[in-house]
Amino acid sequence: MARLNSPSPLRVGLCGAGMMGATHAAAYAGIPGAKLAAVWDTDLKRAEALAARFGGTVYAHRDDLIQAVDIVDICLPTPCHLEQIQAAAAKGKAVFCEKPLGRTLEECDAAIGACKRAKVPLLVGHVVRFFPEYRTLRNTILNGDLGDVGVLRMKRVVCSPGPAGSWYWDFEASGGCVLDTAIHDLDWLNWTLGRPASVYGVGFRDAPSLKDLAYLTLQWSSGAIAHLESSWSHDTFATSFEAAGRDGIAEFDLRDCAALQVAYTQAASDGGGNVVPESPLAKSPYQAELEHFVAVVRGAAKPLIKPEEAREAVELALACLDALRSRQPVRLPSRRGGPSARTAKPRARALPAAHPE
Amino acid sequence: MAKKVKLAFLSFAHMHGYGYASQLRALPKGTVEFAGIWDRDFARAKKMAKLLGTKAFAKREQLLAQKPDGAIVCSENVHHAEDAVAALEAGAGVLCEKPLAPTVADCRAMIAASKRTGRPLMTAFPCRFLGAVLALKARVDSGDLGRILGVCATNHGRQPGGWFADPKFSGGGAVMDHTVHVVDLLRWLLKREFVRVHAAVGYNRFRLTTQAVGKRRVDDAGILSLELDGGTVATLDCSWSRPAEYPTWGDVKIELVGTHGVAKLDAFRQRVLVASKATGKQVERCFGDEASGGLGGAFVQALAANAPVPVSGDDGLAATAVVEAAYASAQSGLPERISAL
Repeated sequence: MARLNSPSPLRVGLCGAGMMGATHAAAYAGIPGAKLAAVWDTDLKRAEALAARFGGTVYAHRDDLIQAVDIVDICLPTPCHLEQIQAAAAKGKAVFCEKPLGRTLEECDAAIGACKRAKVPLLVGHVVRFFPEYRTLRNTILNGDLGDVGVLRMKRVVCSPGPAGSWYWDFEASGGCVLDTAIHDLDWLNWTLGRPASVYGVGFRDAPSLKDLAYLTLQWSSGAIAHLESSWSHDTFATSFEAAGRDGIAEFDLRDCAALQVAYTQAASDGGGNVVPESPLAKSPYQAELEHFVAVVRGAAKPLIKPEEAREAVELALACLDALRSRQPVRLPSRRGGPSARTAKPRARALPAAHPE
Repeated sequence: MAKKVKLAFLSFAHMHGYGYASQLRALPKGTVEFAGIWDRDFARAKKMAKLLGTKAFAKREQLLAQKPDGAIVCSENVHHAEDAVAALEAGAGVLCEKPLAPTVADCRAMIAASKRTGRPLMTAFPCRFLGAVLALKARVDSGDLGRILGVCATNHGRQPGGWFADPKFSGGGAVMDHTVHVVDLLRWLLKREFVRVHAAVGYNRFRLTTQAVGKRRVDDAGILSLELDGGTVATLDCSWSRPAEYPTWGDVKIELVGTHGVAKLDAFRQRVLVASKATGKQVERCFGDEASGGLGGAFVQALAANAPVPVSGDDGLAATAVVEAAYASAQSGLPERISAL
């Protein structure tokens, strides 16, 4: 990969021209070190439409795309991730893969193994780590402003992500809102507080009526507890969080951060008068994420999201799904060291474990 | 003109008592008269008597001998049963602060006394009378939201300190204090009973607790996962997680996710934000109101008309049953069945 050290931009091959593919394509347009060189999608028309907007050559065959690029960026349905990662790694290409890394831990292990053997970088799109509000909360917790955390609340609810019959509503394929949507917050919690000791959840799920809803409770051995609200059954997109600790509280609600709201009176008469609140940022979190990946590929940055952490996020999401299915708490295997060391340190006065044996 | 309803106050240990007294005093002239105040803390009885323009009694029996029509019980949770039963047996109807009692057994004793004496027992669930809550009830009853699939609720608060944080008097911490309001609202809104609970509970997580309770172990953080008959699931965060620096005491929020829509209640959202030299940090001045004299008015109306009270002892018991099962779950680490009846 001689190009890695050359000043010319890295060539990105985008697999998947859906909503996330378009988001990535727009982000690359702002990254000087990379350019969208190739697009592939099972739906050729969709690939052509995306290339017409953002540039890049459309390939009818995936393997031809892999051949023509330095970076393979995978924005495909979850069950397609592994095969795509293996194909890219086999050709020595750097891999960016949307979350979740895989539908199962076996898929995650195989994906990580393939990239390790091929010695290619693998970064998984846990983009919430690049959202400034979540970074602010993490820093606020880690710098001790709140003291030991007592209760965290996270909310991430969306409207139905796809129509009936789409792969999203095939829970075997997507894992539903827990594996596809809540995984953002689960990764952030793993990253910030370390792995929880146990999870529990209640919810409702019915694909034919496009309902998927989960209320998850996570407990850490430190005594901290978290509530996570995840849904594909809401009227609108909403995120919020709250962290209350020994010494204080931090709160965020996306709805309260509408720095700009524009509504057109003309549109109202056409029945399209919805106000879309905006929280404008100099750089979108997606661009920050992909810029980071480009720097990793060039050897200029250490990966902020390790493949093993992406696997741990899947492990946690699967434990939540187990808890929902079994209607019983699910314990997570304890892990040596890890990022939990800081916040999960034993307290001066020992408190009982969350779940006595 | 109808006869005035004579009311006795049994203890002001719970600060809500003062709110009820103010509400009752604001009722139309000639509606109520105060027989007096008794409190285990006689100094507090005297202070409150002065404030409310009534008499302080050193003994509960002396006050009950005044033959009040109704008694408002705002003693420490563990004294509710004793005080309420004494009042009922003296012929007074009882409005008892929530939780009705810290144990289901106590609740049963109170309900039995009410049946035995034929005098009404009402649980103080004032949230049912809030304007925003009544508006939500109308929407749920209209059926426009469809079937309610899930409920995400919070009843956050500050650590109240004092006897609230001493299980000897309160029966428990945040789970005891802040579970019953939302549980009652959901039973009333959805017309369903709770059947299962899992409780994740945190102990001594917040600074105020550490200051207020010293070495005592008190639950001050809790997330309950609940199931109702008919399949609706719900979670409730009952934590005392609001620090002293917070602009308000806490919240009552309920989000209902139905098959046809989503309703979000923030019961105390109607407020004006004030920051001044006098208030220091920003504070909230609520302007939300309550229907027809609120909880106290409803109690007095029921007594005057000899009509059933709008919130029963059974309602109080059902909420305490959820609390009891939640503490059992916190102990076992497993979801527990709730059986109120």
